Amino acid sequence: MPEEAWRALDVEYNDPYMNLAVEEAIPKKVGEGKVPNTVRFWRNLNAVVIGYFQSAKLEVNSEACRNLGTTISRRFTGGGAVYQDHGNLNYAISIRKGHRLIPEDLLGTFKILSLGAVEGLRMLGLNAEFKPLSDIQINGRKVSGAAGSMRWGTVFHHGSILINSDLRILSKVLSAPNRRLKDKHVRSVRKTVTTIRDELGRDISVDEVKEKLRKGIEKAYRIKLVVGTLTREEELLAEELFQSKYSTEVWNLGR
Amino acid sequence: MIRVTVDEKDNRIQRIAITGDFFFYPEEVFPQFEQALIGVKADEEAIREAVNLAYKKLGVVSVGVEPRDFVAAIMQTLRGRSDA
Repeated sequence: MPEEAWRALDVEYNDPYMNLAVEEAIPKKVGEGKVPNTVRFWRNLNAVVIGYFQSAKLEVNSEACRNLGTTISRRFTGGGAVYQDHGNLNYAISIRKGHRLIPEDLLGTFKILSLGAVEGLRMLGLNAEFKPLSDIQINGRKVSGAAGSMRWGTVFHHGSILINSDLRILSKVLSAPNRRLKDKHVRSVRKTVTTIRDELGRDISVDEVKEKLRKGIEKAYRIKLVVGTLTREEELLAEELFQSKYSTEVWNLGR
Repeated sequence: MIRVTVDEKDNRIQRIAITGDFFFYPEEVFPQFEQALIGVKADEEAIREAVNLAYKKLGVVSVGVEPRDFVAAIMQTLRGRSDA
């Protein structure tokens, strides 16, 4: 049987709102059957991305964001807030509903769709493990979080991998639940979160990590990734979503 | 973590906003889930019933949180207020 081919995309913008608009456009078109199953790799320049159900006011230190030029943005999937700079690599998997890989339960889906990234990190020589609900840990510390959704006829999963992000900024922009606990919170964030660079003990390029993730995903899912581009339809939909949703204050700060 | 903001009047929930880092499907019914709590008596039993009913009616599946976690978070906010 010929190997199943998925599309691989490297599509990123400096504007986090546009990145998130593309993030929604792809699974919609995958679900419509207009484009193949897709893995997108991308980064944000300097952004906090909060979960669909979160309150920007309660989760984000907006003053720190203003001072650091960090944009506050909301994604369409649940889960917690993340800080993303160019030292953080996102991967997003869109698979049409009914695919052989997808189990019945949501927890199982989180696990399966994290295993490609786990495999890629192991190929780098790291002791990576899936940790429910949707994290990847190395030696007990979180290096990646993920979120997912089942909509538009697509099973969608995206994860965020810390390669060499600035964890000091992360601690500043993601606010502590209580001001008095702030110092403790900062310390505990840095103790429980790690980066690939820290775990490897050497500098590593984003491209090297991306290459291993590609290979890990191909191996874990028995597929072949073929480099592609966004279709005109996806671009138009992304532009529309950018205008009507992701760049609006109502969407980002409304809850 | 579930965060709840709630206004009560005459021992009934008048306004409620639930936010947090949970996974709740289908996502788009969440406003209806919050709406289902409006007018509900501000006691644990009534809230539990309303949450369970909304889960069933809206076909909710959640990951990382269960109906009882929403009930506990709402009760904690309500109690916090009366203790204050």
